[in-house]
Amino acid sequence: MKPLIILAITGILSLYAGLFHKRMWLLPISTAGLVLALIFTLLDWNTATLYYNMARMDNFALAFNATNIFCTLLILLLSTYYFSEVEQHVAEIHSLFAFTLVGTFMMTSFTNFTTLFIGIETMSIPLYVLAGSKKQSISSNEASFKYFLLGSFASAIFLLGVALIYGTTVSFDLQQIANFISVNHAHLPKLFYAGVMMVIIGLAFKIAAVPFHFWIPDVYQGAPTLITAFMATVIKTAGAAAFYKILSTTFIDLNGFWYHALWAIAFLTLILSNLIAVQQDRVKRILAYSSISHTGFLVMAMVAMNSLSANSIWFYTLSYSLSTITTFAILIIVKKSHHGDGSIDSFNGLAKTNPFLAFMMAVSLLSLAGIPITSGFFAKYFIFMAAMKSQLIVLTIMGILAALIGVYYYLKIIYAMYIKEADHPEIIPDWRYKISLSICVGLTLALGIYPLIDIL
Amino acid sequence: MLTLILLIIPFITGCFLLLRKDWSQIKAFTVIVAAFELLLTFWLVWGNNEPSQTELNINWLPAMIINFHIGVDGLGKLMLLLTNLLSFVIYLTIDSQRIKKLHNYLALLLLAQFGLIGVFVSLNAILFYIFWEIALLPVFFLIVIWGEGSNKVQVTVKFFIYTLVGSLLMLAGFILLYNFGFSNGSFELSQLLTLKLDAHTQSWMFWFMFLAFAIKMPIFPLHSWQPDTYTSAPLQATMVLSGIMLKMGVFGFIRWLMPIFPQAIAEYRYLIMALAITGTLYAAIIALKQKDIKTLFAFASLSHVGLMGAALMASSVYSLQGIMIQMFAHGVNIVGLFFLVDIIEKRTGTRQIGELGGIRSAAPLFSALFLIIVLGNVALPLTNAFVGEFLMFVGIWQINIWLMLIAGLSIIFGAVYMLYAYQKICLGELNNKTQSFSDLSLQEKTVLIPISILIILTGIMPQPLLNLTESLVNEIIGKF
Repeated sequence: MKPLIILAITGILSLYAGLFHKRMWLLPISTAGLVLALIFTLLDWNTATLYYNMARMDNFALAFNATNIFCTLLILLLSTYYFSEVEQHVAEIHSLFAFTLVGTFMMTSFTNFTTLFIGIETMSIPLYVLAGSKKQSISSNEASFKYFLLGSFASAIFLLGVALIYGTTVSFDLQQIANFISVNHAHLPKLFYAGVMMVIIGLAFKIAAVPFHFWIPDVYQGAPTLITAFMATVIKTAGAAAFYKILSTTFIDLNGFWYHALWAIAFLTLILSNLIAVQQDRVKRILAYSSISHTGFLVMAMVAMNSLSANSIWFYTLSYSLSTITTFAILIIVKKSHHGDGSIDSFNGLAKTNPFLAFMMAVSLLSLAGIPITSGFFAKYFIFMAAMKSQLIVLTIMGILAALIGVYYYLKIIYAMYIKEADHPEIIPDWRYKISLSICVGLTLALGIYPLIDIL
Repeated sequence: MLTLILLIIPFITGCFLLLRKDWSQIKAFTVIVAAFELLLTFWLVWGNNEPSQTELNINWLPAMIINFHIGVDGLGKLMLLLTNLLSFVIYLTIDSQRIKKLHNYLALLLLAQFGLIGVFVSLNAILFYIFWEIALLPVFFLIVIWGEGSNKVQVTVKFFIYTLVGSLLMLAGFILLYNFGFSNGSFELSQLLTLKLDAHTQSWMFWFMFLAFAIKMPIFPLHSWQPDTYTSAPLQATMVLSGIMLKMGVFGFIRWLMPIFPQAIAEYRYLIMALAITGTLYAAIIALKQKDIKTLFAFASLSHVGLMGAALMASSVYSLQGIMIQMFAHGVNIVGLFFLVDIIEKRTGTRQIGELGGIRSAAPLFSALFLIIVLGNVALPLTNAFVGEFLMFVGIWQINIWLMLIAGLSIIFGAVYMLYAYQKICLGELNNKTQSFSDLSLQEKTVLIPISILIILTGIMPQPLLNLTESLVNEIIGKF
């Protein structure tokens, strides 16, 4: 619980720093807070604690929390350069990052529907604001508004589901609900099932699984790129953790009920997102659809639901986040220095002017595509292992096809960088970018040689 | 340990070269390293090594049952010999003046060599898969960055997607084997070899791995990536692709597919043999029509590989031993042929057969060596390919004499298009393009003379190579 409190305090301190116009203090405060939280998270390893029957910090929660803090740190490193031209409200942005993290903490550790709902809202509300943080930009406002409307709609459905479940079981406590299910397995009322479905829909919305993905492209496109990176990594990680946790603990005995629904969701997510991504020519849109496709892999591991699932989901989110941060970071640099629209063409000849950036981008894209000696390969490998263990052959073959289509559009960017002639001058990246990128790519390669298994 | 050293030398050299930008001795350095690597290979192949010296087994990811298990048997030795010999020759063929960013080019070639050696020494299925992909990446970048032709983007996409489809299916196949509990909970080759799958399981699981290897070889009708890729790739990448990488498919077939799915091979024997032989004839007929020498040799290579595919499915001791020799012979010949194409293109600026002629009177040594390599490729007795093709035909004959006769047509076609090309290029009258054709330089001699000697030497004395793989072949055929 210490990391959570530290993060909340960090957020408040950032607000005060903004109040007194101490802008140069912002990054040190946020970084220090996050590093402290990360240290305390890692110190708690292997000591599971239950807090008032509302939250349980076990290794599962800690692993996801550590990933989220780490990713946020990397994104914060990028933020100074990104916000260098923004005059106002930088402090608010910093504190909103911290508050979002608080929400994700609750989403990974909940043992009660109340905690989960509060977590989702604590995470989402700062995000609605963050998505609209480019106040002068119409598309940013549109993204924020769209996200807010659809997000609150999903929250409402989720809440209704919780209410229906409460109506049957008279409890918000996950353990008690699980007990109730296993006792009354044969004669549960229809409304209870409706409730379970609504909870699943609400969470599927948060991780953007097809057919609840419609908000993703516009929100990703409109939101400031840095916030998009944050949404694509931290939010997805937390959503996946919450989704997996509720399926594996509370609804595990309803396996026969949600199995087919999730199977279909995984199948559709893998195929649709990739087919649409192929047709995109803006890098941000490609990444948006590819992020939906990665959701498909996560859902695949949830459908499998066996001893390998938890670890494969966690490793997948970690690997995916590292690569996604790199790609978005490079997109930011390229867009900013070329004043381009972020189409694939703006990456033309990057290998000739900036071999370092092109290499980082290539490694990350290959990792997203799942090519060996990058962590992305083992991430996909673990997911396939988990799926095959539960005999999901059709889904695995679908995953393989999705990975293949993915290779095609990731290669398009690599081509632009390596084949096309450069039509832009050399970019000189900020030193913080170099650090952040080096950490991401270094870890991607290191985890490709020694992936973390048996953690969860 | 020795195997590990062989594996790691190209990797370290490759990484080292990536960082040495402005170093003039870069090619000489690579050649020396490759020569050292080749000597080590000789020692490994023909020296007196205990198995404990060549094998290495490290628990890499115990929880995922992936062991870093490398070692060599007869087949591995043969492939190592081929890889390191050809790599050495390939580095020699590099013209350091013509290639931009030579250090990156050499580094990628070395990394490809690293991946290939890894494929041939892996004794663990997942390790095999990982090296299989590692070998693909450098070649992909070689074609992307140094390739020629306006459509190289489409060509490389096709190449990449094709190969990746195959390799991912192979990965799925391995995971299936593991998860269905057939493989005794292990990805180790030695464990997989003890599998006794029932006929039904074999007959559908076979396709996962077969497709991967068939695409890599390639077997008709999965070949459409190959001629384009060979034509647009830079010289050395073409050599690596045709000389060594294509053998990955054959190697994988013999190492993983044959011992695990013998019944499936018997079941689909006629189907796949018919496809492979169709491909052989199809490629030969297309080769007859080619005007561009490089494309012609690409189709010639396709035709030879189709025959290897048919012989693989025949799976007798003769045909397998024939494949072993043919893998080696085809690698040597095709590298020689592509180098000849490059020499011609460099001197005359064209690869069109119709624009050439009379080179023999301008460059007698060039023409003599060209003839030896051409004759090797059409499998004249006393050349290397003869031994291999003869054994392969014996193997196919044992299955069905009609198939053998039809496949035999490809030999005739082969003689026609190769000798036709030779005649058009080297004989006849000199024209304004070939007038100033100078004979071989020292660098070119150091490549082509050893290749010619190897062609004749292997043709006269194939026994040392056959001895390497004899026991392994008998063991595999024993499963049928």
